[in-house]
Amino acid sequence: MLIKRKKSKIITQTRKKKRIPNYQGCTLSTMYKRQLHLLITRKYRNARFRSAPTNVYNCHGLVFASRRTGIHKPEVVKKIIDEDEYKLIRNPEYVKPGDIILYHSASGDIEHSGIIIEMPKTPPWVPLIWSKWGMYGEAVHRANHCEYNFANVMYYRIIE
Amino acid sequence: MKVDLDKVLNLEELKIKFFAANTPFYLYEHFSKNASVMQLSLNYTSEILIKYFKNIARKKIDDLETLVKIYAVVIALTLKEYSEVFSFIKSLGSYRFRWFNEIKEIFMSQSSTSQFHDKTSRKIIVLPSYSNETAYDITAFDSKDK
Repeated sequence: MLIKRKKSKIITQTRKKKRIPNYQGCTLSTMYKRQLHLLITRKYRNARFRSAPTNVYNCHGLVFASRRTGIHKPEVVKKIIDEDEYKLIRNPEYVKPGDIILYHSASGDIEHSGIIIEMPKTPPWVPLIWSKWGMYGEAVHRANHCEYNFANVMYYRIIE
Repeated sequence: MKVDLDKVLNLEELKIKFFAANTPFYLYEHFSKNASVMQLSLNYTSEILIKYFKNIARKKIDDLETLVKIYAVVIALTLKEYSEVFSFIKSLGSYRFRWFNEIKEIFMSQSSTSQFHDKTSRKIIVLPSYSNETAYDITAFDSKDK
């Protein structure tokens, strides 16, 4: 079962020293972790899951908060992109390892994020990325091989 | 009338989506557009679904499917007529479940943008204080510019 605990926030800031709203999710029991791992690995056999399911952080927590906590609101991700001075990379040809990828839904949600591991040298530009899928574990996978909308992705980099 | 969610809901698909959700909007969007959740909303009256929810929500949740069913019922209720479910949705914050407050806010924001509170207009998700137009006016960068 899910072990309930009080919502736990930590202090984390953007480069401009503005607070980043966040919280760590409840702890998952071993049984839950096992069930979740089986559920997702059965469907995504070509994704390499490199860690056990956890609810402490989510994809945005992996990308922007070093696995310390979860970030759950699109406007908060947008604030980090602005205040940390990420720059949009319009042409996927120039994407490099270490850049980040944001997945957008049609409604404007930033539903997923990940870190680029490798971009193919020729089209189609479908990078290999490292990300965390909700409560599931961290996965290394092709950017279009997941539960999120690859049709509308954007790439970003911090220049300095 | 007995509610048989196992027959109506596509639990395998919903389970995958539920635990893949990084944001409440993702959860709401995928559940509210799921054919089986829409069917649930059509098959049962608001009273029956609310009663069912109250019954399972106070029990100890010890499996993934029950948890997913709780969210499916709540989101099926948000697809109902505004006047039928308003007071129930408003009370969601008092339950212990993750993102119930956010689901309530999404429901309220959709309702406030819909003049007539009809079902079809509430299928569009409006994110509070955030829109595509203002999100990415960041200076373009790529290597060629350097």
